Amino acid sequence: MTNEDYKEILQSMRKMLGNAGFGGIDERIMSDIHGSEGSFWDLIYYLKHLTEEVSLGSDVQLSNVLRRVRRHVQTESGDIIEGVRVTVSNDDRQRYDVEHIDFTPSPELGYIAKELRALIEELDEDHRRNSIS
Amino acid sequence: MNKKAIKARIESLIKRFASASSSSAYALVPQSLTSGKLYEAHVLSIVIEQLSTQENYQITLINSRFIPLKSSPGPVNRSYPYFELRRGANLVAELWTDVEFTSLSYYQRGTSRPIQRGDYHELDIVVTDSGVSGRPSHSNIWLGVECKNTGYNKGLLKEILGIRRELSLFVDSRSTRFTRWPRSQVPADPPSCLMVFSTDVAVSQYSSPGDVFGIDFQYEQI
Repeated sequence: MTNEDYKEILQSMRKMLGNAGFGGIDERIMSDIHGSEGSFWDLIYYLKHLTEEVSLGSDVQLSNVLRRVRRHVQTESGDIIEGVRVTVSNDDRQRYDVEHIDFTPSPELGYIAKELRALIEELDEDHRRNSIS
Repeated sequence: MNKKAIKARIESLIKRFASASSSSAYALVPQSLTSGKLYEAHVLSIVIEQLSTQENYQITLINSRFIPLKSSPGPVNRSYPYFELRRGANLVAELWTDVEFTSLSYYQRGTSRPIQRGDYHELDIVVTDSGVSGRPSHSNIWLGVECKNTGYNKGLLKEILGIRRELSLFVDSRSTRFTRWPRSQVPADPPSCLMVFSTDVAVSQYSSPGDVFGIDFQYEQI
């Protein structure tokens, strides 16, 4: 693929995100891009940040909380902080029939993030192969 | 690999992203509880960020991989999750959520008497001495935070003035346990900091008593 192709893919992806109501995510990623190292790297950078956004969950409030806390807090095991857990009182346990309420990014978002990572790897490999030949 | 196929893959992933984002995993729980607790989580993340960046604490979440909140307040239970605040190897303080503390008036009256409901009060977020258990005393509190995801009003102002009264005596300025954030001086003994975060822009209209008694009011949207 050519630089023009990479550029067109990035532009098309940004448009799709905007149309899907994720203009805020696009803005956040673009504001993190300082200068351009070429169309391919812009696309990879954008995809990597999009993957991060997806894995945080698209609920903007929860995403912001997780992003901030993960940056500044470690767990004892070194595992990533998964979400927010509200432990319910005895009364609330009987009322809602739950032990706790978890706010976490949905598993589907995890699968989507995984597929985005696979796409990044494929693009990278394709780019390397083209550079050699 | 071609341009058309990649665009199609990305389009499909974005569609799935939009679909997964719109489904709510906690639809059975009342909106008032979820929105209030998510606001508390939002404020907690800001407090943690400030303690890390302004005060240089290394922060570790203990007993969990989930940010801990409770639907109702209670005493400190050390088997519950909490945050350790360290400087280097030294554990210096702890951060707990939805905790009740025993009041200044309870200690003034004499702690040999049985504790009553009026002898302890709730704070949404507290930074305390390390190793506390049960209901920490007012003198264990370094920082108390109240989170109000609601219109601010005179009743809430009176409530926080009551908390200030039950945390400390009003005195000339004293050094807090913090160097910069939330403040280094407070007119209180013990010198605890007290903050109110509110989603109501009108909270600033209630802040003048806080200027005197050492309460910081902050308008913070979600």
